[in-house]
Amino acid sequence: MPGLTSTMLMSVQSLLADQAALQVTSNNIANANTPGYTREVPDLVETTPTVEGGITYGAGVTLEKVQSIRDQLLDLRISEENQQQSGAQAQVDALNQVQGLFSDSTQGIGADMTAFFNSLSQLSTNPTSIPQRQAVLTDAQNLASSFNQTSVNLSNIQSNLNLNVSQAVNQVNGLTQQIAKLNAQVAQMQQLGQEPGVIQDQETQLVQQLSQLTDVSIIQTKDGQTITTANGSALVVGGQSFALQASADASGVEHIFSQGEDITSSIKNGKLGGLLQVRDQAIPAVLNQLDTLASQFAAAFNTAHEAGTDLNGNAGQAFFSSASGAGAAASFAVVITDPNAIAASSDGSAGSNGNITQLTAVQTQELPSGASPTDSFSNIIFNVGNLTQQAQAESDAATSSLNQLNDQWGAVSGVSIDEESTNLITYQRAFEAAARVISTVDQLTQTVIGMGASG
Amino acid sequence: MRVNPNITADILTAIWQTQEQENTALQQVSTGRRVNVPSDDPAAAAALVGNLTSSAQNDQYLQNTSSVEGMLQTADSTLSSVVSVLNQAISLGVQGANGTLSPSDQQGIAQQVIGIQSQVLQLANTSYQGIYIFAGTATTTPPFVADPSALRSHLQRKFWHQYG
Repeated sequence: MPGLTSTMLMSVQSLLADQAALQVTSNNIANANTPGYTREVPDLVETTPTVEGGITYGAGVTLEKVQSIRDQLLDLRISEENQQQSGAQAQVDALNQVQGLFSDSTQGIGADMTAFFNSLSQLSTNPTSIPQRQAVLTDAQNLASSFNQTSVNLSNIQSNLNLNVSQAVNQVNGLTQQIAKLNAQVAQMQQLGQEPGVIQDQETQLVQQLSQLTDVSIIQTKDGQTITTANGSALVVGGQSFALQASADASGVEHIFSQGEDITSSIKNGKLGGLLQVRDQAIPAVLNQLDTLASQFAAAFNTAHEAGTDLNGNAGQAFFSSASGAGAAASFAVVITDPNAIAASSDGSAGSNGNITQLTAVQTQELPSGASPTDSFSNIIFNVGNLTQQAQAESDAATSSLNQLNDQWGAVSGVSIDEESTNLITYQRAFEAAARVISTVDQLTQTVIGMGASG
Repeated sequence: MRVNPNITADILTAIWQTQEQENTALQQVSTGRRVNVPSDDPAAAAALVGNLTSSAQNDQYLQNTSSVEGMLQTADSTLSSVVSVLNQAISLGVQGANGTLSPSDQQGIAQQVIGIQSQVLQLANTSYQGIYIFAGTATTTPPFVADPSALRSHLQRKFWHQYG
């Protein structure tokens, strides 16, 4: 039968539950601006009722646990979007450096090629003029050093990206180690029946950081989160982490290995994916176009030049030299040093400018690649600009959907100060009421004791 | 419905986007160009290469024509000088054909014609900035040489024929 004592005990339980709830609320308020903090709610449940004489009496409240409010599917979506966004952003950053090499229309390969052909054209008005011949050689050298410089700068960007790749791999390894530790902690707490909310908050934060670095797929298991790379090799399983290795091949290019397997080409997203995409696809494509232009241009110009006669009456020699294939732009050079050796004449006489027509025609004639030198160069500019623009658009799209997902996350897990303030009042009132019950029971007990004394 | 209570992130993103647009607009205003990097408009940036080349070519053609123009003007004035001295030679010939002239007068006229010959020769070897302009492509050597004795003997034969 319910008595004063049990009512008293029930109220004490209420006080404890309300105190705990107040503590949860104040912790929420304290962490309102903590990144990754998911709001917690006190899980208040009815105590098992007592049944006496066919009547069920409620036995008060207990705080079963403090629960973090999270949506694990949403966390997975955010992780995916983080991979996309960071990958695109890394591409944008790297490609912006690449397109910087092609941004100034008043200098560089395009402008120098125009200047070179113009000074040839100028030479046609006075083919015996030594100063004008010298000007042609100077402009040819400027063109050569533009080819060299652009090629070197592209390679430099590439090797910087290479350095970034090995740094990113180190960051990945640091994160997977920490996640594995937290995984173990979560598992242990769950075994002991404890709520691992705080640890999970940290873990989710780290997983998001990891997602910003590389492709990962995440599976929730009873041992915590199992994280694998894009091709399925394990990064974190339970409390164990598996490090990625970055090791350079013969030409110094960093490859990424997961448990002995080269996974470089399967990494598509995250910062690593973006870096690799620019290092292994975008820059080699631009370098290849540049090399093709350099070697085909040198060959076409040499053919035209060798058909003419120089000021000394000798047949024209090769004007430019360039390796064929890879490295053509880097090795592009002017062979001729003597202004007399420019073969302007088509009939052997000094005053003939007949061959200059053939030389200047190289500028607009199709190379074996199917485009004239000028068009080839504008194709390079188009490709660089297009790649950058695409990466930018991808990054913008991913950023806005990431923002939307973060809003959803906030709607589920974010701390609302308004809500917490309301809860504060609710629990305060409940606490006051429970205290009032205790004092009432106290008075009743006094009355009962008084009854005994008088009786 | 519960909404994201923390709206600062959204506000900041919106501010950043606006700032980025502002930067782009400012860059366009300060450079006076719509396309500052290839990614602003890849097709336009590529077309710019061709347009700049054509424009520079045209400038060069204009410069070439003006430098050749000087040479052509010299050629033109040289040729008019040749015409005028040849006209002189013709009128001297008409004058010399007059039978009332004394042999010494005729010889004087012949001397003048010889002088005109050397003038024409000089004009035919006119050079412009070191280039012999009537030499075809052999611009470095004087294209014409005189043979004064041939002219003199021709004149003497003429006089002998008339006056026996």
